[in-house]
Amino acid sequence: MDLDFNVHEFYEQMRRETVILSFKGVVSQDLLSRLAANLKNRSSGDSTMIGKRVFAIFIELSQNVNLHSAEKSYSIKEDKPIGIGFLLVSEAEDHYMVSSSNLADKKRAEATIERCKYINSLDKEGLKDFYKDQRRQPQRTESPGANVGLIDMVRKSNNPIQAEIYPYSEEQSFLTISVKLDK
Amino acid sequence: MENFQIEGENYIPTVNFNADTGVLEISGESYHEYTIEFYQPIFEWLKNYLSEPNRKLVFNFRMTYFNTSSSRRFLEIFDMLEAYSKEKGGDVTINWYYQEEDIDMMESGEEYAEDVDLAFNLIPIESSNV
Repeated sequence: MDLDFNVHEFYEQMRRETVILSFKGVVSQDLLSRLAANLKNRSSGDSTMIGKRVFAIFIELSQNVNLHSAEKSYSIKEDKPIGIGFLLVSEAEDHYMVSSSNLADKKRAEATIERCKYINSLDKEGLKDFYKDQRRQPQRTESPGANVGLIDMVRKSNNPIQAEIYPYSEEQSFLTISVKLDK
Repeated sequence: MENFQIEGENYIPTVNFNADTGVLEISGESYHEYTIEFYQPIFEWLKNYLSEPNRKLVFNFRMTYFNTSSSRRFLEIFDMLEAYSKEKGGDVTINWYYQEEDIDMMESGEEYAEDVDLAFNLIPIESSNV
């Protein structure tokens, strides 16, 4: 880090943007469940559904980072490589925003963008059908995930999912995914 | 046959399968990342339990949260139970409990009920009794 990096400014910027949670690093199972637990408490002032939904979306996004980030750190405790990435939750007057950012294989990131476009084009019934159809597909061999996380997040948020790619190298891109939940 | 139990914690659900009474129950939160590994012993016990025909069993789901990966495992459990009731004379009842205000959990139950051919009860409970 540059010696003139201003931690206070960084913190102030997050405060201005009403960030309630930010984490950059190894997104282990234990860590994400602790962060998520705080989030659930934090959200409990509103209606119970929004707290549950922020919690659910945070879990899905963090588990995406854990499983799919192209940047990994090996955990001796879990005997597995664990994804590194960035998680951000902010709370505005009328909505919550939950985001993740991580390095991803370029092709995989592009496929995610396409999948999000398709999911965003579906209406409520279409989302339900696609969710059920995808859950019925055989388990992907390359991933322990269910391949319905993105669909689930759109269904829970009632908003389109925002996915963006930022160039990094020949083989890898940064993938940012954001989900907005109206209060 | 031995009963099967898992003490729930954090992202791991509490599991109580009683071989004598035929009451199988899962409750709490389930969001392990590696659900295939976590649910493996559960599937093994069930497979063994369902190898004997004509059992009468009640499967209680009392989940407050589960991730999409667990949602796939639940569908696999329902598929096993459906096959058991159709092919081996099993008498299977599913009780899907949800906090009365939790419409997402209610809809999850409804969608499973649509996807499998099983006696499926959706049962709202008052939050204070969870």
